[in-house]
Amino acid sequence: MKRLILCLTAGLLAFAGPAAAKEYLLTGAKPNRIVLVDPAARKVEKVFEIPGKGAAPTAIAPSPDGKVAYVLTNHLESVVGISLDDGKVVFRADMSKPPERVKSIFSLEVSPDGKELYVFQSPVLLGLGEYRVQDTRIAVYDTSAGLKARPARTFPAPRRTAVLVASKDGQTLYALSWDLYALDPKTGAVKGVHKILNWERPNYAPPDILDFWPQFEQAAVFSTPYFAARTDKDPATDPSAFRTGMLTLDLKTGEVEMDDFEDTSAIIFSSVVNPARRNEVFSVYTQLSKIDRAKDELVKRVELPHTYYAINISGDGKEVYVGGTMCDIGIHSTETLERLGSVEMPDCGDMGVASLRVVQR
Amino acid sequence: MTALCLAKNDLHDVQVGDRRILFHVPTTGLFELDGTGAEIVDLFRERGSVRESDVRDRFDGRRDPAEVVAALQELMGLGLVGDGRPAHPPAPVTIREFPLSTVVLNVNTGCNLACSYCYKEDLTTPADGGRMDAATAIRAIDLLFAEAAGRERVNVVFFGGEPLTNMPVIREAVAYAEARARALGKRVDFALTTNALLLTEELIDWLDSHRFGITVSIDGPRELHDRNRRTVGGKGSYDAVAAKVRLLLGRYRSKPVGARVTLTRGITDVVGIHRHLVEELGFFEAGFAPVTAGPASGTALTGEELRTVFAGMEELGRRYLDAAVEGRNIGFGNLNQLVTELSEGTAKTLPCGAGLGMLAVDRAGDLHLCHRFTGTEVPTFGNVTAGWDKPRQGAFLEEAANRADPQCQSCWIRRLCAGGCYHEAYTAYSDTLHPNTHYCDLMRRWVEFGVHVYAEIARRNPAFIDTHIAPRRARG
Amino acid sequence: MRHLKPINRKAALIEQAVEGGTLKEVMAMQTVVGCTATLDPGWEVDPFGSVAALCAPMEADLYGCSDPCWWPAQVPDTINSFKDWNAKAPSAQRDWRVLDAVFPKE
Repeated sequence: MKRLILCLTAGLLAFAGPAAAKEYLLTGAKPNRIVLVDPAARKVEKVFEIPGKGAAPTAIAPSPDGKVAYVLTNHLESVVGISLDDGKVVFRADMSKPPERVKSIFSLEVSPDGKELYVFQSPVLLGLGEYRVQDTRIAVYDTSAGLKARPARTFPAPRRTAVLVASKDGQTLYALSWDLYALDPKTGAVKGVHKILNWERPNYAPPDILDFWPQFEQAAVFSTPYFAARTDKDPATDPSAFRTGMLTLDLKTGEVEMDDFEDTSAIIFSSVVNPARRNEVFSVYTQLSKIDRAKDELVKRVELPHTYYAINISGDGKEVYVGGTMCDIGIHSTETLERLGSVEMPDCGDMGVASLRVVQR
Repeated sequence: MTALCLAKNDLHDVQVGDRRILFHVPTTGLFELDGTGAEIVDLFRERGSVRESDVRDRFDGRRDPAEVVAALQELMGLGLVGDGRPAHPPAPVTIREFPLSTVVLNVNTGCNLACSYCYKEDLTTPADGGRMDAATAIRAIDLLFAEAAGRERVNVVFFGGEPLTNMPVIREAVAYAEARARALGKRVDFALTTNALLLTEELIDWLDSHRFGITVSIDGPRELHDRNRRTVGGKGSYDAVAAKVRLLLGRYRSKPVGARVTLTRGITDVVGIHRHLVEELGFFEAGFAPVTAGPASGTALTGEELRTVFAGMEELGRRYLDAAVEGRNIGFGNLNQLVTELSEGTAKTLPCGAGLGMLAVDRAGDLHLCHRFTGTEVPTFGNVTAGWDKPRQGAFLEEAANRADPQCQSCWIRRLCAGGCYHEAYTAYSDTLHPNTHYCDLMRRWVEFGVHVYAEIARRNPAFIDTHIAPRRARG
Repeated sequence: MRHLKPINRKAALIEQAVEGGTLKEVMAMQTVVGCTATLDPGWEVDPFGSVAALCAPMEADLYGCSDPCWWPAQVPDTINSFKDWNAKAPSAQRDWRVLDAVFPKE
């Protein structure tokens, strides 16, 4: 008996260690849920209701240890932290305080040490007969602040920020606005600006970027497609008058590259860099594209069964996951781009603009 | 180019020194017109309807055509120049939300003076006066907080008769209001208007400790004040009032103290009264109001006297301007108020806050448009116990806001006057909604004078606006 | 405004309104990345001038675009004004029949 118990105990201990951390996909779905997916098993692992009101989850940022999902909810006015173990709410920040109404335009991020939560805020003062738009700002919360969290500090942030990304060392908080700002997360001081809309590329009009998808955690590179019109070519006759490119921001080195890779021929919404082959970038919309960012060329493109917004990738670089929009996450081979499988959301609730993240837990 | 014309009812221009100031009537926006703009406005005024040929005739060889077109476009952008087709009649103003900011409590209809011109219909002696009980005052304060909605600051004002004759209720009301405000996370401010006779050091200090805004009713130096502000026995009150005023002004710290002057038959020396009250007695500012009296009352200012009063206000106004340019505020309340409205660009469809943020409460708890109406037969709007009749209140406000008297429609100060005081109208015309047409010419002249003063200060010492005027702007 | 110089606060606000605000705050997209201008009365046009490159099927785009208020003129706004418009229709392709028009409250 004692021997049996010792064996069992040893066996249990062997399974319990963090060395067995697995990759999961984390996203959100209507009516108002976060969903944890086991991509290897091709199935939904856990579903948690987001408490309170909300039309759909949008921005989601996992804690670095994979234990908590921070979700923007309550019609963009609140952030809740939900334990991915048991679905309990461990954090809540209701950002509006009458007469000020605060919405976050999809941008939140957790510091690499898990202690701080950064939320972009767009406030408006609701007056008696008028609205007064206030300056935008970033609010920084302690993740341990509990269920009635107030910001530990706030600092001004550029308007039209739609993605917040922390550098690997936590010393910089990047804000993707019309330009890409590097901020000091302690003080909000602008450490640097990489011009996007205000670029001075000769013969190019200002580029367009439409991106609210934080999908940078696997390769530690933030990437996003951009579209730019050439001012020296005739759009009526010359297909190279519009160019598609890829912007990448290395979260370890801070290096930014912005290079065209094709004449615009397909719309692309978001992208992700392959952690295993770092020159590969995958992007998604109604097609799935594989791009070589060293050679700046499109490698392969396939049609998808429908449009997707979001894309993420396995740690071993073998599978990409396309999500957002409707109720399925598609699983594709990074090698051939063919579909390997899919996972359906509970009750086929649409994912819309919910983020598609990868967590290790 | 079709013929264009000026939206005559929507602009008024004023020559201020070498500048042409344009008053944009719908918004109370004030602009300085440059030479091209001024000439364009003149051309429109001369010709009425202007065609391209008229513009060429006037400007060819004299001004750059591109500049003329640009100026025309700017005037069109403001809606001041158009093709003359009647504008869509504006949609009727609807007033659905009118959160309270202020309740005025008539704590005693009795007064220890018997000023000849007092408009209070229910005035009596303090002993015979109808006192409000604490319970009613408290219910009124509850109503204030309940209806304040998103407002962070509220006001409780004490009135009468003479409010100081009912200090017990005032003290209880203040304590209650402060406790409620703390509990709700709001701020409550207090104010009262008094004849000052009942002030003591203790009372002054108590009022100071609760940061009351105090206004003293006083009509000027003894000779003028005692003509009308007498005791029941007929004695002049000046000596006693002045002594109390000195006591008050010597101790009071929390807020500036103002004087309120009633100008009436024989009391028209605005400049002299101001000098006595502000320079000699030391009030922070003096505000002047021509008496509200029916024509048969014997106290109403004659037409001649009204003109004298306004001439005095303009003379005092010129001194105000000179001082303002040097950075000093001489405490001319009426002009401070007008300059504040012009600097902000206040544009109103209702003449005041009566019913629209402010309610007066009488001792029965009935809700009146304002403190002047308590004791009148003018219909009330509910009761602190039975409730505020908001549908009726809203209907009254909408009726007032949608008045379309032809005289008003073409008047350039219509967004500042908006018909004028309901109580004035009730007194002069027995109709709260009758526009106060007896003041039209004088009011237009006064506002034009205000535009002069504001435009000069804005150019010669804009810091005066920041320091002395901007803090007075009403909070939203 | 060059010929009319604001000299009070209201005039300064009007100048802003008439001039359409500052350049920095509103920037037209250059290549129209598959989305409609929010004041267009019609539907979307893709960058190539047709509808072929829009979200396919259209239901794929419905909630992803309407919930973030991308089309405030075309569908009810679930951020502020009609928060529960699609609460009973979590799957656009299955539940679209449940979606209703909205009417002003009296």
